Amino acid sequence: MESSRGNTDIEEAEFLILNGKFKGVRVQAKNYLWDDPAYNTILEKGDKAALRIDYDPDGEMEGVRIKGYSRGSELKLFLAFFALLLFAVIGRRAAAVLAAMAFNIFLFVGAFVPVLKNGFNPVAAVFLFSLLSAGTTLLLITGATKKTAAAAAGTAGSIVLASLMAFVFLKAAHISGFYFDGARRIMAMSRAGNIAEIDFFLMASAAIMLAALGMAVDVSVGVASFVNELHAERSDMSVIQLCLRGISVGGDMLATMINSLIFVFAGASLALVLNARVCGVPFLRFINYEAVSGIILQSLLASFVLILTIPATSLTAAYLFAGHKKGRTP
Amino acid sequence: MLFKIRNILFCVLVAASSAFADSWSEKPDIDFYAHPLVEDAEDPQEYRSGRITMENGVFAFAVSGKKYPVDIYNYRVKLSGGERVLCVIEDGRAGVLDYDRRGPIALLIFLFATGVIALKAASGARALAALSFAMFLVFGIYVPAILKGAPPVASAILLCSVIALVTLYAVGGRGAKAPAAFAGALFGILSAALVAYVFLAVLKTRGFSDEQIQLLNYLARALKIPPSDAGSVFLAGIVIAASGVIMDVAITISSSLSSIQSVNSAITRKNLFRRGMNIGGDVIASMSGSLLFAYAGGALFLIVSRSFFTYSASFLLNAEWFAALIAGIFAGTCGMILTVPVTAFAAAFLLTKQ
Repeated sequence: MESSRGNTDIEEAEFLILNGKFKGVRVQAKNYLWDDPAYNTILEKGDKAALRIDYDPDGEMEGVRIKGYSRGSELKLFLAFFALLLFAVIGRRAAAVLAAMAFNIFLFVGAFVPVLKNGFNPVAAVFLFSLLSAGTTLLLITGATKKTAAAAAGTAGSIVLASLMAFVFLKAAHISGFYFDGARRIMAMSRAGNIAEIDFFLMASAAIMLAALGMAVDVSVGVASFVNELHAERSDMSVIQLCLRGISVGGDMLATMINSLIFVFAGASLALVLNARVCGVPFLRFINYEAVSGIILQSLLASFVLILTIPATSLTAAYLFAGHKKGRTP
Repeated sequence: MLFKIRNILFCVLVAASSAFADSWSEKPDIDFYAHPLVEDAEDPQEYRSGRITMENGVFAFAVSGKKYPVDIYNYRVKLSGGERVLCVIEDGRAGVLDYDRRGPIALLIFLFATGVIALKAASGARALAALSFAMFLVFGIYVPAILKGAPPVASAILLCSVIALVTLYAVGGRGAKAPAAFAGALFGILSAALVAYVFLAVLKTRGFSDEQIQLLNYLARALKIPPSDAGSVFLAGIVIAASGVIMDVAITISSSLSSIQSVNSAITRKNLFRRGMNIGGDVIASMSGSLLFAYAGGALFLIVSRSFFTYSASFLLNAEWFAALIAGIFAGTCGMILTVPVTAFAAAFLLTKQ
């Protein structure tokens, strides 16, 4: 261990590469240790680490850096644990749930994020993503029925309404999207010419719809199955009657679902609020930071999507099931 | 002008430091002298909210009957007359810092409350009251307690238990619904905390890729105040985020079982538990995507920004920020899954005699 650069220690470490292009090769790398252990990769003999290896076009190694702790294999273990837990509690249906989750993750990482970076309109992108994701999730979990069609239409309708609402409120509150964590780095990358220009305002709206998507699908499935059951039981009910009953049951679900999204945003902003208190920033200043108002508006608008989903799904479901005899009441 | 230069400098600094925790080529603390929160802390001022007026092409800031000529301190604020802004008054002139955004927020809260109450009058109002009380507990009681030295994770578990108790009794009302849901939610919250703790410990992840956690760590060290470990605040945040969905699943299942029992009062304990597990299966199947999307939407800017430095799948799987993002989804979803059998069992036990 040699000391240099003020508060830094530098360890020389030797690694045996376990996988990838350079498997089996022994390499040396420097491990920088700062006086704050939170930012160090603390390694002992026999530990695994993730290395970043740069190489030139001929495949010659140019440099090796320690990227951090090795996490990949442990992460896979946890995924296996999750799958087992899911099978233990809900049985065979777990397969469909896992397939839907995997599809959503691949669609998000493999299509949605790259499309955003190519400068595609974020709101259009999230709308297409919602259709594909909600459609596939519904097909896998509820199967190809009229119920699925009603739920998908209800979700799509509420997402469109929500995007209009997001536009109005984000514009009224002058949210540019520039101050969300990560936005500055995206801007730096697009200024450096690495990606197309991204419209941050539209991306802030897209984030709201994305956050609400899972819950919206959930509510719409609940409402659509109820309207379906009710129609099967009482096929004499008119569209309006079915729709009103659907809205009433949706309200029951809503009262037990308004916590989920708000708490996710509250938990994520815990450190931000702590920092503001440490800095003694007055409430009037704090709430008017774009980042803070932006998070509050995001969590409220995402929750509002649920409210919109209920009438949208009730209406489409009622039309799909009883629409052919519209206006004829017994 | 000063603000503009600072902003650009901040941009360049943040972009230059590949701020993804673990091994840093430079300590991230170097950025924080220009963080807006720290800037405002170093320069305490009296903030005033008022309206911009325009007369003869000249802007003025009108507050409590007085008018001040305007200087713009923040180049992102574009005045056209009529907007509400936040100012500081210096030497008889108003410096415009930011827009006053409370109006749209208040309107949206009002619309949200109206929507919930219109759809479900009494129980909707009770659910909203419980939610507001919960937010007050989190930000009004829990946050100051942490800064006085309360242990973040243990207090978060206590906080969420209190919130669950209040919320579930407010929504569930009298009878066996609320206690059954509370038993399930308590178990769910504890297991979410345990799962998150084990996950973060095994993956050697402490949330230090999060800019706010970095800043908290920096401030706590510089000012020698609690929390002594900013990583535990990250874990506490995960527990709080998970508790919402856990409460929602618990009350959904216990209400369904309570209405099944009221329709068929002869149902046996075993059968009621089975029905609960069936309903729970439906709930889990449909809710499993919810947390995934809630986290992805909340972190969309971060995910896109970090995807630039992600060159391969193994890069992603080993990155601290990715493990930190998955931790929240994983712990929340596991907690939600484990809530189901306990709630179903407690409801079956409390609702039937045999």
